[in-house]
Amino acid sequence: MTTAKGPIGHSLVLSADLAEVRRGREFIGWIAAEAGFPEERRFDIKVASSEAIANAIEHAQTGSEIVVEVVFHPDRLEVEVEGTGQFELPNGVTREKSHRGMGLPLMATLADHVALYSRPEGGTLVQLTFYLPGHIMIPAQSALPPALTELIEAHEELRAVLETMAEGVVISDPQARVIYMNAEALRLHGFVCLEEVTRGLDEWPELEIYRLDGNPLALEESALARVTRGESFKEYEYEIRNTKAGASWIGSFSGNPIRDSSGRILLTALTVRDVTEGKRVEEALRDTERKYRELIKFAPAAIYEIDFRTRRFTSVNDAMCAMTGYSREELLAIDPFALLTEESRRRFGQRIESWLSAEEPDTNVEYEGVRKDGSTLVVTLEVNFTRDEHGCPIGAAVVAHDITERRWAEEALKRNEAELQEANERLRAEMAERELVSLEREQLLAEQQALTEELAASNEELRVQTEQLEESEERYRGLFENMLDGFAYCRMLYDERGRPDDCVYLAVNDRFGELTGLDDVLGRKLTEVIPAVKEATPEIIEVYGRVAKGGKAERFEIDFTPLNKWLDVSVSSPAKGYFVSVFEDITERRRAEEQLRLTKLTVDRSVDMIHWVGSDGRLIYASDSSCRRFGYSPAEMLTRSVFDLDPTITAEQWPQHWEELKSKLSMTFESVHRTKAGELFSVEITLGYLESGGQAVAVAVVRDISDRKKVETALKESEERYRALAEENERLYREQLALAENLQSALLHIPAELGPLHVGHLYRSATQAAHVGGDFYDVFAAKDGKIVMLIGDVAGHGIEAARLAALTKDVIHAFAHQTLRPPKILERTNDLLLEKQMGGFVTLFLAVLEAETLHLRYANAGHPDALLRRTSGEIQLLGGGSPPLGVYPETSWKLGEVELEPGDLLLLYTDGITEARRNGEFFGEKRLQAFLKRRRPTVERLPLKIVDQVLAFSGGGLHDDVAILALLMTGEGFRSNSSHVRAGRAS
Amino acid sequence: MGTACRSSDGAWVEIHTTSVSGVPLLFVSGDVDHLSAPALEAALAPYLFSVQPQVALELRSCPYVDSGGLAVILRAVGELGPGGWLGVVGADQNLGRLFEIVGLLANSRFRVFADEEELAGHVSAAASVAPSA
Repeated sequence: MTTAKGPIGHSLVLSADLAEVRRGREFIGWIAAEAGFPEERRFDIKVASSEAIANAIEHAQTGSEIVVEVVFHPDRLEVEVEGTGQFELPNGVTREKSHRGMGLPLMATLADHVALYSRPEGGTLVQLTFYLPGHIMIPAQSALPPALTELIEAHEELRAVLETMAEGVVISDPQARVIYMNAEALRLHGFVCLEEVTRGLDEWPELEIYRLDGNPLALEESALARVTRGESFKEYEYEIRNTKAGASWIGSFSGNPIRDSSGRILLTALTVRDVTEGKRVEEALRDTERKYRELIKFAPAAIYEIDFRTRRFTSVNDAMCAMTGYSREELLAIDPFALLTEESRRRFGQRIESWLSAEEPDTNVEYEGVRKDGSTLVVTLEVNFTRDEHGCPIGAAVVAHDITERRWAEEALKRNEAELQEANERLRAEMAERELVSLEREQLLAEQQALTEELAASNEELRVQTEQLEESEERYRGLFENMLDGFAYCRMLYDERGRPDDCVYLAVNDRFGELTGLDDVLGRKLTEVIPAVKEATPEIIEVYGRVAKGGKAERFEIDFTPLNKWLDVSVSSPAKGYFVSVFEDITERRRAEEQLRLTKLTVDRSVDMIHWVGSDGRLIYASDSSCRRFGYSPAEMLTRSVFDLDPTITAEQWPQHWEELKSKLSMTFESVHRTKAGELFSVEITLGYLESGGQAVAVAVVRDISDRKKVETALKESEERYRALAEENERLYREQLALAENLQSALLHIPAELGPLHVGHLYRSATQAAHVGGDFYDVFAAKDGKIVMLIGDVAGHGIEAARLAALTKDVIHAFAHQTLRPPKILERTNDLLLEKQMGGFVTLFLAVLEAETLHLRYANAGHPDALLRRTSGEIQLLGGGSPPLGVYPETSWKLGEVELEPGDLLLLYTDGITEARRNGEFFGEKRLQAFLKRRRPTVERLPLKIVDQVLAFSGGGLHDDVAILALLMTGEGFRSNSSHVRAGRAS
Repeated sequence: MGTACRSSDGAWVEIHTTSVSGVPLLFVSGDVDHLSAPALEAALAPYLFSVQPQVALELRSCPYVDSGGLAVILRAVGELGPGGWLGVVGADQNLGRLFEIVGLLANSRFRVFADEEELAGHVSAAASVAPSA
């Protein structure tokens, strides 16, 4: 026996008829068995090939042919199915025959390689590769090539990953028809099942797409259309509106076409995620960030952040520096609490305690601090705590408002009022004294003269005092006029029941007019000046009345709707029935505080990480989310630089980056960051450059895209792998030499009727790979109205045996032209096989039937006896114990002869039938005979019935291939049925 | 019972129907492929919409099923009315693998039995736990 090193090819041409699928699959299965594939793999090969053939047939043009090529290499079997039709990936259109959706997955799962090729002129080639066990090929370019099973596993895992992914995945064919959407993609688009979406995009009239600015977007600009044109893109965002469902969302699409080695697009892949929420947050964030920056920059109030754990400022604004007299660097280096007086520190501590005991602390409390120059500073602090996961305050964002000046003014005013009062009393006392002197004038005339000088002196003193008072008042008035706060001195008016009712403006400063927009108020009533006051803010008159009655000074903030302003009002009473109101417009501050709160909330709740980076690359600020992700404490974080976090940037490169940012003002890019623990993760960074109070800062919004990256990488790797496989397949394909041996004729193409014969036949591969035989059979018309029928079995293995079977059959065909005596044909065949040194041996039953007379001549070379069932039910054996062909030279075989009658049935079979086993027991000839005697199915069905019987006996398994040829004699003869044989006879 | 089904174009499958403990059992002999799948579909159809749609396929003599046949089974499992299931009896490991690949094994309405005995046991167990009302 020679050993074949090169590839051996077989081809089979099928007509485009589904009934041909079976023939193609049996053909391929047979070759797979010959090639030595184990039974389980042969099954896979048959199923996968069947899918390819069925597909080719379904898409073939009417009347065209499907060519099946099977090439057996030493290590693998390649099956190629080529059809005229344009291969279409399953798209679910034929919903009632939805197995189309299963064909490709089955092929991909069962075959080791699958490659699809389209011919430019039309037509598709599907190539399936199956490796023999232990011969798995791997792409050469892979350094550590994964085993093929791993590849398949990876493929399945990928599918599992796709289904559970948070991103939507859409896979489409080159015609933009969706083949696959994972669960998320279906959900996003509002579809319930895949069946719904297997339409082209233009078949979804309910979907409309819009740019983010709200303008309609043409369908040609949809992600699906773009990727189908071959474009690759990332983060392509637009709004999708489902007019039917009334829903809209913003999708962020990334697309990649998947090409074969020739660059043709095989599939397209889109990933999509719903960024609606992200967009809104981003928009809000961007907005508040801008406001926040402006706010901090321009806010008159000092704004700073403290970390309680490190007892350090984490940020301070310019106003804070101006207020305290310290530079920013100095402030960042000192303990924030050291700025407060001891009393204020205690008060701050109490406030934290009361906050911890869940009391609602006052929003505004005054604290005293010390400036750098030692002077006293009075502030109100608006504190917004930052909390850890247990809700404990770990820091605070603080708006400090300097009220030193106001406090001083209030006190000065009080002092002034007291002095005025004192002076009045003294004046009154003087007057009373003067009255007394006047009454006793006559008696005290002598004293009068003496007193006149004294009185004059006293008057002079009084005048000086009054002047001094006026001067003092003038001085304070000047102060008030220069105050930033509004100031009003009023007399309270009460109603008849003594309840505060209104007040009269006695004095106001210029700032009052500026803040309120009111002028010419002196001497007028409040209700006159601001008619809406009683309706809108009745409490303000209550407070004024309470204070003017001699109550304690009060301070409050009020939304003073008549003026549409927020006011911070301090009220005190210099004398009963009078009050002083000092107020400040805090509308901006309130707004700023609200925005600050919102910003903090947004920043802290945002999944994105926020960094503020100085020009030296050091972090000035990092959001909570960032600290968590990086695993640093906030304090540690502030000791880090960009190049500590980002391994792709060095300290040397930083200035260049900084300059680039400075010139562009904002940039977005992807990079990699490293956590404290050393984990690397992919990030998308949006940098903004801004200058605040002379300091340049980069604000970085850092988004963790590691999950997205992983999926992208997996998709890319998978795509690479498929491409590598496709290339490998193509290379192997070009290597192969097609050796066409028409093996299919060894098995198939048997006519159902031939002359007086009705024919039933069956070939089935073993389901257990114990031993592979080479079964074959044939029935053909020969000269002189004779019909030759034969069945044989090549002992031997693999492709050599298959070739021997084909050769034997061809040789018998050839010799049948020379002689129709079966022993002669066997002798000549034997000689030839020995001469050719084929190395195998063949058992063969050969019979020649005289069509007209039904006279049968036969000879048997080592094959199981044929069975003849008479119409009576009697069974006869047609045998002979002579040796097989190809063993001994110069052997001769005995001629057997028998007269047949219409209704007689001849059964030829191979030993796979009789040697089927159950627990070591053979099915045997007896059972076969008994069955043949008892059951009379039609001749077409008989072979299957026998196999069923054998399977039932063996428990569902065959130990060897089986072949059965059943021939029923009819009374028709050639006269009505076989013109060409009759013609042959006539000649 | 003993209805034999055969597709009109001569596909190579035969189906005989019997029943096990009241559950219809369809003996499928031959290959269920693209050509013969309609015969199986026709044979299954009457059982899918009964009051308690339970039906089983005996596949010991069915060595081959491809996507044509799988589609019929998948569709049948999908169309079963409430409380229904489709069982297969005696399927070999090749078929088992295909059932797994196409996801049938993960479907609670698809059941696998080694033999008729196991099927009968399953049916009677289900009957005994069913509420008497």
